[in-house]
Amino acid sequence: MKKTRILAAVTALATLFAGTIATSACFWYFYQPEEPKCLNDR
Amino acid sequence: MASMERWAKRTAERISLQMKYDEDKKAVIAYGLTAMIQMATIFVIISIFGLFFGFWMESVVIFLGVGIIRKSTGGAHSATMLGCILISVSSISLLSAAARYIFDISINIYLNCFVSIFIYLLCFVVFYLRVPVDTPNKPIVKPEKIKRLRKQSFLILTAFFLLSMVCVFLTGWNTRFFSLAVIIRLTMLWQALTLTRLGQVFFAWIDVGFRGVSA
Repeated sequence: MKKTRILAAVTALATLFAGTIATSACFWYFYQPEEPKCLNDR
Repeated sequence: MASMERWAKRTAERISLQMKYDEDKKAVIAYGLTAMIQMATIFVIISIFGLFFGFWMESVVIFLGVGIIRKSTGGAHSATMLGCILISVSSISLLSAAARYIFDISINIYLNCFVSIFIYLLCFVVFYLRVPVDTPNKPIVKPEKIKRLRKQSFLILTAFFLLSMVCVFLTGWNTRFFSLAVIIRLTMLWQALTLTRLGQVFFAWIDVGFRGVSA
């Protein structure tokens, strides 16, 4: 149960970061990995 | 450094398996984790250098400044995470050291204002001509997104200009604000450079040197 909560928290944080980057021009610094296709239209 | 990306992908796979997420969600988690690792790595390394050499505050200002403005301007990118981390850490540390120990010479407040206005005018011109600068891994094609990012860039640049001027005027109260004003100006100049073709050539040159190391 505790593990599931931790994984859900990591997922939420990572999704928040990914969503923020998707609406921006690029990543925080000088490396830009390929953007997931499901975020492309943002 | 490629192992950091692999670790992010493996972690995303494990989470997705455990939580029964689909492929899209897994890709989004891996993408977000890669961003988090990259930011944390750069922040930890520049903090160690900054605390050791006494320019931590300047390092954090440039770390946040470049990070915030790049989100709307884009700019030259390294092809590898190792190249990114090396360029980020060395540029942040060198510019911070320069602001703290080389350019930290008390100059007349009017001259200080003149230097700020000149640098920001230069940045406005570069921004006007180049923003947004995209990459093949994240192309920016939608006209409304381009318009929004350009607008955001000018707003953020104006905010940094005002912040610089506040630091210039606070120099009389505490001389530490002088090096903060210098580092904000250097942050914007560095970011403007990464928007130009010269900046892109520089990043490509760094990549050639480090591609073999990070493979």
